[in-house]
Amino acid sequence: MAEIVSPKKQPEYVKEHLQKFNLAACMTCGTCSSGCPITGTPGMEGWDTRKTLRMLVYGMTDEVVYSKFPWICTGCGRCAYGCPMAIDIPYIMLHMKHLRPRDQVPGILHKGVENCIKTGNNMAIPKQDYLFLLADLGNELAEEECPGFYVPVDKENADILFFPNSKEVFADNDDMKWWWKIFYAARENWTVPSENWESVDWGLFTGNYEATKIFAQRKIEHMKRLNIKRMIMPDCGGGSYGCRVGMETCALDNPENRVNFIYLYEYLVEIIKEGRIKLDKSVHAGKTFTWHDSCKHGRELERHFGKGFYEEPRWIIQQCVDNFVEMEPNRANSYCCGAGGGMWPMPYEDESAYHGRMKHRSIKETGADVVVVGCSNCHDQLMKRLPKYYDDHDYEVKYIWELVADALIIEPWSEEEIKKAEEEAEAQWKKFGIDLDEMF
Amino acid sequence: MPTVEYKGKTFNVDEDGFIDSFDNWCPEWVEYVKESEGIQELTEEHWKVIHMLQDYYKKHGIAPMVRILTKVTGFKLKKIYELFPSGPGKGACKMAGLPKPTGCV
Repeated sequence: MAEIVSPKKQPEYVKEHLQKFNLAACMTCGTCSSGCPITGTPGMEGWDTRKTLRMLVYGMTDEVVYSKFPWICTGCGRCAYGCPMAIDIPYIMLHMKHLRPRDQVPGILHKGVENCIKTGNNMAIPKQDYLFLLADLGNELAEEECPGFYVPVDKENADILFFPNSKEVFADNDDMKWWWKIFYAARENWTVPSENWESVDWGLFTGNYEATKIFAQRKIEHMKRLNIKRMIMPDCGGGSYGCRVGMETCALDNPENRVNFIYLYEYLVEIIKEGRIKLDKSVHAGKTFTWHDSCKHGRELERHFGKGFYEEPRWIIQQCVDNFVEMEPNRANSYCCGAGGGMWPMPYEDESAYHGRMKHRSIKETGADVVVVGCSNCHDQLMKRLPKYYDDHDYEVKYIWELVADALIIEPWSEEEIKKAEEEAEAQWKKFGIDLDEMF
Repeated sequence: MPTVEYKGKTFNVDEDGFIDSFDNWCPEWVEYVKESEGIQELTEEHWKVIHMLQDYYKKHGIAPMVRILTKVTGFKLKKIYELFPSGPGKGACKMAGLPKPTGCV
């Protein structure tokens, strides 16, 4: 028999926050739940977005805060996009995460946030290890195919500031080489920070507003300290979106915190159109490619900041391949991969894969050989998790910058350019105390 | 905190199935992870990886970057995946009694 619920009064601090999101305007139509892939998640029977919003209206804040529901919400924003009353449901769910005591945040998420605050990266990788990796891996790329290549660290007056992702520094090292090759081919004047270099933002995943602000402020400080022209927003959907949210907060505190940023799609379009890199489509001949619209680069970015990147990635892909097919649904209607909002590192793998079933179906229906992505979170979900659960369609997953890097025609550097870069590299690593011969 | 019972021992584990403390690591834990990870037989090569991870962890309080692991052990990344199919961050760290690395790995 159904339990009778009596409305309770919301605590003032919750009520005040929820009032920003017009929750009272909800018509209970259920559009949110109908469009949300987490409806029906095994183990969460009886829960859906519409009911959760009603619970909040009835004052059942604790029941929501201490449930798993806000955590399995990937923040994809499909609910809010369809909501006839434009209620910002992902931000309400984010606030439910915010209200959870920090020692009860699921899995490793809060530990990662603490690490990042203390050490400048989620995984607490020591500075010398990080610099060793950049030096060693940079040498490898120089020897393999880019003579003179090195990773410029803390370079003043650079044109581009780039942020590494700790998962690539820690484990997926070779994945860094694609961007490096692009910078090499474009002869970019770029740099990365020596400290506080983390690109991802788990503050966004845990509703830790203060952490999101700290991480954005650090990026702003790098821009000012090194007098850099533009930073490329992190590729990770949460990283770039969190950074954007944090930067807005920082700019509200002080307008001098406004710095120039560019999204990776804008950067790639720019260097292709300006002829700074040249591409050869033939390397991708014989395969069909499709594009996965990441929520935080498309729908959610558009909803909150007025511009989603829908057409730019499609244009970039078509500079690299001949056979491109659309996925259905796409652009603002696209389904989330199932790993947003921290669902990749969180201990809810089955729930995440259940969410991803809709994306898997979309991919399968394209018949494409390769799914191209622009977010490292989506990348791992589509490449590593979904195939474990759904094995009826094989496909490859490639980053959009990987696609570009694979199609690059690199114009060789001159002897002078190589010599100059090698001298700069030697001086830089000496300054940081990195001697590869002595390390192992 | 969830627990795991194995060969008469009880282990406290976190939500990701990693042992709650490095101090509670013991050979039975290794046996348990070996079975749950579907590893047929533990070889000297597995132990080389486990010992390297533990030595680094004792010094730095975190798992080493994979590049340091591969340099010190002399194993290529592919080899590490052959030894630990769920990868260095998950299978190998779990077996060595380290906490789950706090990144998107």
